[in-house]
Amino acid sequence: MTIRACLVDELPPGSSRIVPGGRFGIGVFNCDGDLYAIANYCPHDGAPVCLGPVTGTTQSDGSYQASWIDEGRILRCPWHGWEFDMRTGKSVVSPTRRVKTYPVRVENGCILIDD
Amino acid sequence: MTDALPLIDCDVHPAPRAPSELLDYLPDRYQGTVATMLKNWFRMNRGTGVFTGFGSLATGMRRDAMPESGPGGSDPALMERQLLGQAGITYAILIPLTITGMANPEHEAAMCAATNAWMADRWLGDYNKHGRYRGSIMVCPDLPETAVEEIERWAGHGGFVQVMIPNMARGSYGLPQYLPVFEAAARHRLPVAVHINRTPGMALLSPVGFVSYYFEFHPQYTLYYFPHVASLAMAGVFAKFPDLRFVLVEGGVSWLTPFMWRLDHYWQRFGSEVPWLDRPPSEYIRRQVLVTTQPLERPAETKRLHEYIDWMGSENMVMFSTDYPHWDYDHPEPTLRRLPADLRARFAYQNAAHLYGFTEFAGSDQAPSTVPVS
Amino acid sequence: MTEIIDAAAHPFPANQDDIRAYMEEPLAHLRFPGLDGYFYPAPEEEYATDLAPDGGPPGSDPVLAARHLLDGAGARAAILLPLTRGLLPDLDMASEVCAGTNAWLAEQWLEHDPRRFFGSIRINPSDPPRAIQEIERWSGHPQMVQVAVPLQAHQPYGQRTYRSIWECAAGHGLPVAVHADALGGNEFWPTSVGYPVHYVEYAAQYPINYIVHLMSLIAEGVFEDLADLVFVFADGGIDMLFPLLWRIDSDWRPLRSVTPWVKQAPVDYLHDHVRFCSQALEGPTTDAERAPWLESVDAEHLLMYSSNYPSVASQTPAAFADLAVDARQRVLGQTALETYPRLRAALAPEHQTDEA
Repeated sequence: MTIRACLVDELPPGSSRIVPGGRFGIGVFNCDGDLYAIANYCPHDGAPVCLGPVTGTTQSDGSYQASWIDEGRILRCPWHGWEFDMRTGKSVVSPTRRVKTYPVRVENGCILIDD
Repeated sequence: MTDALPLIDCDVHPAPRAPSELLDYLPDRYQGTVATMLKNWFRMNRGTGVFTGFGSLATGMRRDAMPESGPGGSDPALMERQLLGQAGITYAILIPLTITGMANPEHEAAMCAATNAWMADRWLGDYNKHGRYRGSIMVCPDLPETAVEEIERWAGHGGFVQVMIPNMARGSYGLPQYLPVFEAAARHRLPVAVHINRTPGMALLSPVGFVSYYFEFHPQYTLYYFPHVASLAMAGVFAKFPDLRFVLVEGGVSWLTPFMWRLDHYWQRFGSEVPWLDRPPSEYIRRQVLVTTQPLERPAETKRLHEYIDWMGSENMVMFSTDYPHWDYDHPEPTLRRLPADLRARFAYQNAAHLYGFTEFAGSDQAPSTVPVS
Repeated sequence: MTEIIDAAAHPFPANQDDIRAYMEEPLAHLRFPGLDGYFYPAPEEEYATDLAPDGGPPGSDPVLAARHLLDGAGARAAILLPLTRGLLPDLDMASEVCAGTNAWLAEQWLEHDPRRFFGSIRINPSDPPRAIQEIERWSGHPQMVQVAVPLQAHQPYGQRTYRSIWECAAGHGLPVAVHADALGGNEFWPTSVGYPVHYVEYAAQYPINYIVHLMSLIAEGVFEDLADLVFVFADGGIDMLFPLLWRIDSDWRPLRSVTPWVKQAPVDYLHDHVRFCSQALEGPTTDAERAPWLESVDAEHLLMYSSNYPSVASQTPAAFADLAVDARQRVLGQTALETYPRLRAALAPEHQTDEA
């Protein structure tokens, strides 16, 4: 089933909105022109994950060394701060856990989510 | 499963919208220099209180629990919607965290007095039309006489169901200077809750030095309770006030089991120093100490947690809590499902109902009719 | 037949001069805390007086100790861990006490029974260059199987100042044992709210502070960087481990990005990097709960039997009689053989054990 989220113009880069869909709603994000659609449900404790900030994260090559990566691609849950890679839905700290992601596309100026 | 259970949340943190909201309630006896100094202190710290210095995530609050203006926990409508509504909490025991590390106990006592008056007027008054909030009488134990006065002032109010003291005092709570506080609480049949207060400096010094990161610091909340439990047991405070109950908040659950064993072993071997104890320390603790569940331990195999609960040797010691609106909030469903099924009702509400005098639950496992919440 | 290794026994000098005899001037003549420098006296004897030789404190006679520890308990070998005198303010003095203790141990104890007594290299972690020097000095001694440091510290052991020491120890295949000295030096107070009043309060709580060192070793990436490093918490504490570690785990997950060099959940570092010595005064007070508790705390991977000779609260191998045979063998000796490569090598070819 296809969900009409909103018009492309209504979701400029850096913005997001929650639209009805699935059991918990779906968060639609425009990260620098890339669109992501994520179920508004954190696999940890069921928090409304899409209310959290979109940010980056860190990786390390050794003690005390941290590089900032994936800016604008990481969704951090508003409750316990779990990080999710929006491209894959996978939790950064526990890659076997993930948020549910949906294919999202643009057609005739409209953002569509395929459930 | 959880829909059927009443829930008494034993750790909820209301907050003033701004320091001025609280300072308006400073009693007359603190007007003048104390009031001025407190106003300056809040102004200097931009209303947030002193920071511990650890790099935690953002504000320490659930991001979706932040009102339009004011800190998390300061908007009664939002708290009703999220806590009583979405989380399905029946009753909430409110523990305001308006005290953060002050060098002068007079200032701490003043803040306690203002907080209690503010609570009585707002969270137990104007914001409590639904009758589902109860409060804690904040006292500064390092000024015992003032603490006793404050307990006397609010004990008869009816909305306050316990006394609250911080973990960080000038000594462990079995020391004789704290006895008047416990005597007053016992006399008024009020439990004493201990909650962690966060303050920079020496309060953060572990016995082997200062740690570097927040995820090393936060688990030490559990360690902060060890000396108080040991001290209250060995000094005979539990024995002296057999009806007095202590609630240890945000320390976790499973640590108490091996800690009781430890105290018993050491008492058995080296207990001649404390001849006034006529039974193992664990018997006092089982009778007189309770813990709140948040943050509930999450072993990969839940049965490991159940073992520690089983070995606790009492079903009456654990009470559910969320710690709303903090970031490490425990939502009811994922928490309760991790508790042993046969103890779920006890931990969800029955132990708290018994402790805090919610008589409607006496002898009943039925859920009460819930008050509609917008 | 289960091969029994006693992972921690504590030899004592008959008096302070025995250590002094192995110390160098210009420090050897200076005063330092004696054997009786205990801030907290026990209300009853802490050490078994019936184990004392004539004219000496308990645990001061190698002949008697061999008879009790080895022959009496049926132990194949014992790892001796002498105490030092706390965090002495003069770092060079602290290091010299360690050096003197090591030389005393080697000559008076290890030489006495080369096949069955093994030892610990005491070092002063507050002076890393000297500590490394001391490790290098003894690393060639076939009976020295570990390094030993006090539980007391001014900084948790994961912090940067110590890193070079642990690198050295791990490089030599030497685990690091942590054991409390008596509070004779410049130690911080033993709890977050100061000095407990009664001995029982202090003694029951103090060893649990190992958890701060453990968190630090994980948080600062020490275990991540040093694959071969093992820490042995010789005052015990396995009873408090999981309740605290589960909480540490829950705090680490949201905060991974602050310490991204911590690549595993804290609990996943245990098997490769952490061991505990067993203690009589921890664990269930009911016999029936003992075996399930040992299983619950993963004793078969993490716990090593130790007598803590000459403590009055001494444990014997019988304490593990309830365990299933495989787990019992591991606790009583197998895990120690896997944890201490030098011990294993010294006892070979009797033990053709696989690498851990």
